Amino acid sequence: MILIKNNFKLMLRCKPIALILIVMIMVTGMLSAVFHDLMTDHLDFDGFELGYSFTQGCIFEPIKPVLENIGKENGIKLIQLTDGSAQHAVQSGAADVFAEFNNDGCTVYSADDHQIEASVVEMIVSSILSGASDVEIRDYLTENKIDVQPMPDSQMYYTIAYTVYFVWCAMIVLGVVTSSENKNKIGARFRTTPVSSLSIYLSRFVPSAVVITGLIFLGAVICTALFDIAWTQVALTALILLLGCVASAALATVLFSLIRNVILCVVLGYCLLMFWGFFGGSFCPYMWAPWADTIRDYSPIYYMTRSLVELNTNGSSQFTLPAVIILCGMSVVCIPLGMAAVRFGKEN
Amino acid sequence: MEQTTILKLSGLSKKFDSRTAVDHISLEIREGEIFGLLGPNGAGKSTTLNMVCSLLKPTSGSIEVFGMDAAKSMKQIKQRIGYIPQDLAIHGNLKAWENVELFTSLYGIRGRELRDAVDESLEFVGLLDRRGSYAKTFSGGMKRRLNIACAIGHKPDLMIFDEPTVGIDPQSRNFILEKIKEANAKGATVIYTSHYMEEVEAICTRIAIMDNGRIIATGTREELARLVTDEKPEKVTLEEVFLTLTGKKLRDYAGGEG
Ligand SMILES: Nc1ncnc2c1ncn2[C@@H]1O[C@H](COP(=O)(O)OP(=O)(O)OP(=O)(O)O)[C@@H](O)[C@H]1O
Ligand SMILES: [Mg+2]
Repeated sequence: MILIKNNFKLMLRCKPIALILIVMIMVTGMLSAVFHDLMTDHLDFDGFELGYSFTQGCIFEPIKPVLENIGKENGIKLIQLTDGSAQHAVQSGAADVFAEFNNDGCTVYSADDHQIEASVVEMIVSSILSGASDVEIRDYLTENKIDVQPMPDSQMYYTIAYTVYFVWCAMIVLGVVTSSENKNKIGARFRTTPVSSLSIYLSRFVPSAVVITGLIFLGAVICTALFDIAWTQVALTALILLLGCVASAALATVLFSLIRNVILCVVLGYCLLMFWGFFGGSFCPYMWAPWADTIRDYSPIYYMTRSLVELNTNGSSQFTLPAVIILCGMSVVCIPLGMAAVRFGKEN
Repeated sequence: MEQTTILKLSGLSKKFDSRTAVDHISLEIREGEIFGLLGPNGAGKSTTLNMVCSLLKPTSGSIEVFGMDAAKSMKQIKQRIGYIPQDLAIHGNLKAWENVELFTSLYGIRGRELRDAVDESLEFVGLLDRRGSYAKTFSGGMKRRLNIACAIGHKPDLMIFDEPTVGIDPQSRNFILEKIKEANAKGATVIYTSHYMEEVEAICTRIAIMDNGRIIATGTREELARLVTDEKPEKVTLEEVFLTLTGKKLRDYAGGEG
C-alpha cells in the first residue's frame, strides 16, 4: 500500500534515526565497561578461602567431593584442615571462613570482615545438611547447585537491557512522519480525500513496527558481534523482542493519533520510558535494585529484560510467560485504541 | 441554458467560539463554471471551502455537492473533488512523483492507472522533468505547482483552488491560471479564491465577493460593475467594485489569519 510505503520511506530518509542504533551500541559498550568490575566483584567470591574439617568418622564425609565441586565452580578456594582448631585457622588468616563438620551438623566460623562469605557458606552447608541424612546426598546436591543463579556478564546484561530499552523508541520513528505531516498540514489534506481511518492507522502502525524491528535486530546483531555475546535461547529472545516492537509501535500510534503534538508526545513518551527503564533495570541492573517490587511490576521493560537475561544464562525463566502476555496485552489494547483515536481525529 | 448545479450552499454559517467566520451564505455554482470567490483577508473564504470539503462542520445550514447532501454522502463527494489547499500539503522528504503518487492513491487509484495518473499530473503542472527531485529542494512556485498536481491525479469533477498563486512570480502565476482554464476546458468545474482582482477578472466566469463572512455580491464581471456605476461598466475595474463594496478599512485588524 502506497501510504505505508511512503511513510516507510520518510522514516528511512530521516538520518537521525540511525542515531538510535549508534546510541544503543555506544551506551551498551560504555555501561558494560563501567559496570564490568562491579558485576564480577559481586558475582564471584573473589579470593575467598573456605577451610573445612570433618571429625573422625563423621557421617558427612561423603559430601567432600561435592563441596569441592561447588567451591571450584564458584571460585571458592577449599582448604581441608586435618589438625588444629577452627578458631586458630580463622584468626591466623589461613582461611576466611571455616566450616567444622561433626555428626551433629556443622559450625561456621568467620572473622567480622567476612560476614558475607560466612552467610554464603552457611547457605550452602545448610542446604547440604538438610538433605544429607539419606543416601541420596549426591542427587540433592546436584539439584541444589542449579539453584545458585548463574549471572550474566555485564556485556550480556547491557546488550539485553539496551536492546529492550530501544525497542520502545518506535515513538521517535513515528514522530518523523507525524512532524512532517504536521508541518505541512497533511492531516487536514487527508481528510479531504476518501481515505479510510484504517488505512491511516496502518500507515502509521506498520512502518513504525517494521522500522523499529529492523533497527533493534540490527543493533542486537552488531552488539553480539562487538561484545561477543553468546545467546542460548535465540528463538525465544527474538520472539520477545519482536512482540516488544509490535507493542511499542502500537503504543506509539495511540500516542501520536491522540496527541498530534510531536513535542508533547516525545516528552510524555520519554517520561514513561525513563520510569519503565529506571525500575526495569535498564540503567542499574535489576538484581541490585532495591526498589519496591510493586513499582517495577508496572514496567514491561522489567519483564522483558529479566526474562531475556534469565533465558540466556539459565535457559529458562519464569518471566518469559508474563513478558509475552504483557506485550501481547499491550498490543491488544493499543491497536483498537489507536484505530479509535485515528477515527476520532478524522472527525474533528 | 440551464446547467446542472454542482455546488449549492444554503444558509451556511460557521462560528468559532463567538466569532462568526461565515454568516448565512447561500450560493449556487453550476457545471462548467470557473467561479471566483473574492474577498479580503479573513473574509471567510477558506472557512467556506473547508466546510465544502468537510474539514469543518458547519454550525448551521446545508451543503449540497453533485446533488448529494454533504452531511450524508461525504465519501462519494470527496472522491470527485480536487482540493488544493492554501497551505502547501506536501512532504518535503518525498520526491515529486512520490508526493503525487501518495495523494492520488488516497482516491483508490492503483497500479498502472496510478503510474499514468502521476505522470499526467506532473506533466500538467510542468514538473515531469523534475519528478525525481525531493519536494524540499523545490522553489516556492514549484511547490505550488506540485501541490496542484497532488490534487488532480484522480480527475476530479470539481476543483477547488484556495489561493494557489500566493507568493509566486508572474510567470508561474500565468502558468497556473492557464492550467486552470485548461482543466476547465476539459470539463472540470472550478472554484477559485484569491484577493488578486486581475486573476479573478482574467479567468472567472462568475464572481462572488465576500466580506465579513457574508456574500455581498454575486454575478459576472459586468453585473458586478453595474452595481457601482450606471454607465460604461467595462471601464470599471473589479478592484473599484471591490473597494466600493467592501470599504477601504483594513479587514483583519481583529486578528484574522493572514
Ligand atoms: N480554526 C479557527 N479557529 C478560530 N477562528 C478561525 C479559525 N479559522 C478561521 N478563523 C477565523 O475565521 C475568519 C475567516 O477566516 P478564513 O481563513 O476563512 O479567511 P480567508 O477569507 O480565507 O482569508 P485569507 O485571504 O487571509 O486566507 C477569520 O477571522 C479567522 O480568524
Ligand atoms: Mg484563506
